[in-house]
Amino acid sequence: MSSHREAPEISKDPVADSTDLYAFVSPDAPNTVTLIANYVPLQGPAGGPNFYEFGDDVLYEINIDNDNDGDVDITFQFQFTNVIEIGGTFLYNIGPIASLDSPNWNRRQFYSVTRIDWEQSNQHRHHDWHNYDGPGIKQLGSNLPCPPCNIGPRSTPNYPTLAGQAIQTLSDGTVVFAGQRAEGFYVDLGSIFDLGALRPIQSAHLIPVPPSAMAVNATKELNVHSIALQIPMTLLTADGNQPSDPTQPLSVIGVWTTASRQRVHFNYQGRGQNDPADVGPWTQVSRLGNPLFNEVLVPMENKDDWNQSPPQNDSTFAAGVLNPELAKLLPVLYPTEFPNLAALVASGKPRADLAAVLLTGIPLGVVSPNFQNFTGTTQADLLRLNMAIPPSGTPNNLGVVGNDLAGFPNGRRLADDVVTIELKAIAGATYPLIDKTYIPDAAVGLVNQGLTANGTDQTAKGTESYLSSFPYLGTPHDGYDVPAA
Amino acid sequence: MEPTSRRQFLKRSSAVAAAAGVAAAVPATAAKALTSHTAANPEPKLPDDPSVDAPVVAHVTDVRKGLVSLYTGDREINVKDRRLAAALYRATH
Repeated sequence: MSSHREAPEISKDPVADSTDLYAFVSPDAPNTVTLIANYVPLQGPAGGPNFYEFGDDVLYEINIDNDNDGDVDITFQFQFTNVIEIGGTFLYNIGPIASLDSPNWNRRQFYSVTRIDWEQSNQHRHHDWHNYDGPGIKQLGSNLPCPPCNIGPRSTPNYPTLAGQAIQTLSDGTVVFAGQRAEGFYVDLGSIFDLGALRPIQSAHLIPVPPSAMAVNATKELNVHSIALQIPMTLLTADGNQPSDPTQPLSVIGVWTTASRQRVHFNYQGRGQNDPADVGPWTQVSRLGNPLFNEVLVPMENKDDWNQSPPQNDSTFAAGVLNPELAKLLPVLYPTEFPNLAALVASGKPRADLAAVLLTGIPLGVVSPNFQNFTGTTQADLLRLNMAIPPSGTPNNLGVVGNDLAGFPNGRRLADDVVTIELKAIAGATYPLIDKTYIPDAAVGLVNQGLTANGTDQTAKGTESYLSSFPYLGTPHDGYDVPAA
Repeated sequence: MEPTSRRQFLKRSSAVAAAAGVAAAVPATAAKALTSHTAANPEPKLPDDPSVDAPVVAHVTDVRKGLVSLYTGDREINVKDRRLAAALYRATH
């Protein structure tokens, strides 16, 4: 999946598992950028009585590089606390929850938001700091309420209104939401991980199976937990200006999300204490920039290390980008479909096109005379967004590959078909950007996971609940109705 | 960021002693090793505040060199103290 359970260790730690990261110019508030970091993957909506929540022992962070060096300049930190309001019951709620202060709601979650401007602070950039006071460090909000999970029509009637109460404006004007949402990422996971089967071209697969006509969205009707921010661009740029010229380097930000746990965790036994204890500095256990990076481009034995490392060390993992395993596999799995890709792989030429897309950003003039999202030569897996590119009135879910510069890999919007985009890129669609003589195989045009009807289809199966305003991800599926009988 | 995960840390620990005020968690013989005091080396006085109840974890990373990492709150304190490392080793063997 994008980054759901993408590494051995984090697959066993769902509350710290970053699943998707989105960054886009807000279509209904174009002076702002929306950042969404998702955690706690693959939630079955009926998962009670202990419904899903953020980890109260996890430090969640959204990090931003705004001066093109691959290192963090701004961090938004989120920390959560749980409260038992009623007690004496096993139930999540003892009646309908009509408001966020409902007396019927037993287990609630609250959170704080802290912004760190690292240039102004006197703290070391990579944790081991333990002081919330001081220059450059500002708590923007505390005791902010999460909405409950969407349980069903009796417990959480009128859920959209209830969840809307959890949209808060912070002290600097940033808007925030943290809570359950409908999964927005779509993928035919069962097909792709069955030896790279792509249903639209599976008749050419090395191992023939009876054809399955319809693609299957493996994340359909599942939920996720989202941390969403809508931030004025002037609070993100290094010079404090509103970006207006897409050719200017400072119009570009690089974004990644991390989750950290304290170094040591232990459980008390007996003595009437049931709260585990955590001590020591925060230690990164999960990271996400571009979708599928760790999932597809990093060998299994290195995935946990990748999750623990900072982006500016990603030259360590560049080999998987420059010589991707999947590019070698496609001509093997589809023996008749990718002769040009096979020749490219055999040549040993490094995939500088993929390195630009994923590790440095695309330099000015490569895709378009007025487009770039280049963040310098430091190789770092960042989700890069040129904020001077306005939202598209007719978004194409293939993003830049579909000639829509407002979509992935210029940031990432909810409906962008990132699986298809990256499959096409790895199959050779983007290699002509650096070698005009290279002709992608005809099959590249057919490479598609088959979950969208066409480029303008914004309603991939099971994800049709996107909202037109913040936090954009749809109302979570409720456990009474989903799964359906 | 730090290159050690929580699980790896626990897996790699050569010796870990966890206690709310170190001595409470170790066996009596070990406690003796950690708490033997003489007139020349009296027991240090503790502050009379809640900080003494905070959990402390000691990770002996190299007992021969006396390298010990101490964790409390959200801090890590690295010390080089062969006597402390040896005492912790004896407390766990």
